[in-house]
Amino acid sequence: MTAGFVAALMFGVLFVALVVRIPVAFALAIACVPPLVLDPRLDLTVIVSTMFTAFNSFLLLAVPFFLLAANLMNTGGITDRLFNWTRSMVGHLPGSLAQINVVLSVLFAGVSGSSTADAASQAKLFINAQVKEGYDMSFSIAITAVSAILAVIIPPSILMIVWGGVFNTSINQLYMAGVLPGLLLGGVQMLIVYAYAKLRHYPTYERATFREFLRTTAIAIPAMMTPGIIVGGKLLGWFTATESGAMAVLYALFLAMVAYREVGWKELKHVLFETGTFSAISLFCLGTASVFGWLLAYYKIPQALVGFIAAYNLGPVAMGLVIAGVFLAVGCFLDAIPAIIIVGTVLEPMVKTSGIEPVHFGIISIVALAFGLITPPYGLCLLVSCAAVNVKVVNVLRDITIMLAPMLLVLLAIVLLPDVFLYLPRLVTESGFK
Amino acid sequence: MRKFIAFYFKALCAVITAVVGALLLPVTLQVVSRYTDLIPTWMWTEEAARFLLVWMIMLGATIAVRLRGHFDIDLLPEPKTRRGRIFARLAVDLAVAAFGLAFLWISAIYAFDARTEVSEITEMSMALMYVAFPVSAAGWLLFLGEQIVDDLREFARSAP
Repeated sequence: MTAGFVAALMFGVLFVALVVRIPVAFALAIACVPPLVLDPRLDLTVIVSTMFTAFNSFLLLAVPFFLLAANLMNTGGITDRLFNWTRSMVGHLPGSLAQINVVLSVLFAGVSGSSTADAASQAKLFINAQVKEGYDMSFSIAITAVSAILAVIIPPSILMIVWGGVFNTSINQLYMAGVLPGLLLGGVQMLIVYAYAKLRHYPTYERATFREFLRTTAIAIPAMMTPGIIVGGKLLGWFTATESGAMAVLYALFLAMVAYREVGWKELKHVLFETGTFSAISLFCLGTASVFGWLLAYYKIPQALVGFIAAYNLGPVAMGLVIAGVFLAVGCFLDAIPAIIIVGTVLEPMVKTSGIEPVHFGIISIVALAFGLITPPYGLCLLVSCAAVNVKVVNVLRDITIMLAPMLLVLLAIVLLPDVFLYLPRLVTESGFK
Repeated sequence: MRKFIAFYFKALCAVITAVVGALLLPVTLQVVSRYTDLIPTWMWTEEAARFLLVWMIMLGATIAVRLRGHFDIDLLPEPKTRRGRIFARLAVDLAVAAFGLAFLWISAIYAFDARTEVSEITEMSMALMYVAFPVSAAGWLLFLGEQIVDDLREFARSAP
């Protein structure tokens, strides 16, 4: 069987399976069956062995740990305390509650590596509250979904850990590379809220007193130490990425059960169950995507594409635009982790020949994939935010498009200005600061 | 049978809750042993963590089948009639069940063949890890079977 035939077969079966709404994880596995059955050199046990190899990874343990830490923060009152602090800082800006929504996402991103956890918690906290204050429903959903994507761009990030593991790129450097784009995107989102608030006359709170600011800051300090533990512990070389996730869980447990006493054994059991099931859904999809990716590599399909692209002799900028475009398109249809495994591995050899630095490749891809979390049909943050208030995705698309447009300029800047966006990552190595 | 399925589902939920909690232990022990003299550096901690992770993923994937929690893509509009919606659900469940059946078969053989293999650090039988795959596949089939029977009944009841 030729590479072209196998690629057409696998992508054809995958497309049909997705169209008839077979879950993505199973669709990926089913698409692998025809070549495994037809090729006498292979057999179906490849599915089990490749999935096992993907799962049998110490690094992947960071996924349930980060989700657990985020869920404990939400259940344990940590998010509420951060909310009050955020309100005292930006509550006086036009579109107050929406501004708080964005800034809380930035803070949450420093603790959680999961955008879907952020979208789930903020949707409950903000959407109905914003609508009650007179904000439009579609705007409220859109800004909640859009701000949630910051969780995978600002460190720590599940996507960066997976990226680091798959492509052997320094997770410390990826973490540092996410800081500037994350803060820039947060700033852009605040400007978007400002513009909407001015045009639609959304409400503005009174400015908090300095005393109120100091009081909420003091209360938020224990919660704000979590990013220090996760990111600081990793950057200083105290913990591995996985261990820093476990330490964040222990700290969140301490705050939620001992310090704030808002989580009892019953709530803890619920949080553990939710975390286990949700992490398993994402990681199971990663397993079947790994089989898909393994088969593409086995038939040398990436190399065929390399030959095709190499003929155009793309430089770093053109290649950066190709990476961003491909991940933006793929992000509409695939979850970010499978996309990294399937598409990232296809692009990597091409990127090597174009002269793009590995960390630059990583951050362009991760930001583009983060945008995929709000683009339909498979934008998880958008789906989670819409589901929280039972609104159809199609009703939110206009506002999502308006908000996404200026954010794309930040992605373009990341592609065009590598020296600016790689300044912070160049200060660190995998073992710590230089 | 219904009672058994409900009991099995509850048991799986209890096990995954315990597994997620247990995941913390080996990783925490690693950190404690590195920075204190309270415990020696145990080599089994990393392998235990990976073992629990494999089981957590496969059990969670099984639970998600009953909860219909696996993500799908909404490319086509929903069928307008109730029968159409049930038919679409049945088609998906049958396709996943067919894959589940094949997966159960191959993963059971794979686990059986690995019964003499042992892990590098603890020398635990690798079959204990691989058996998570057929156990999970059997769970998919059980829960999909329940959903298919429900859908067939609903399909028959909604006859025009």
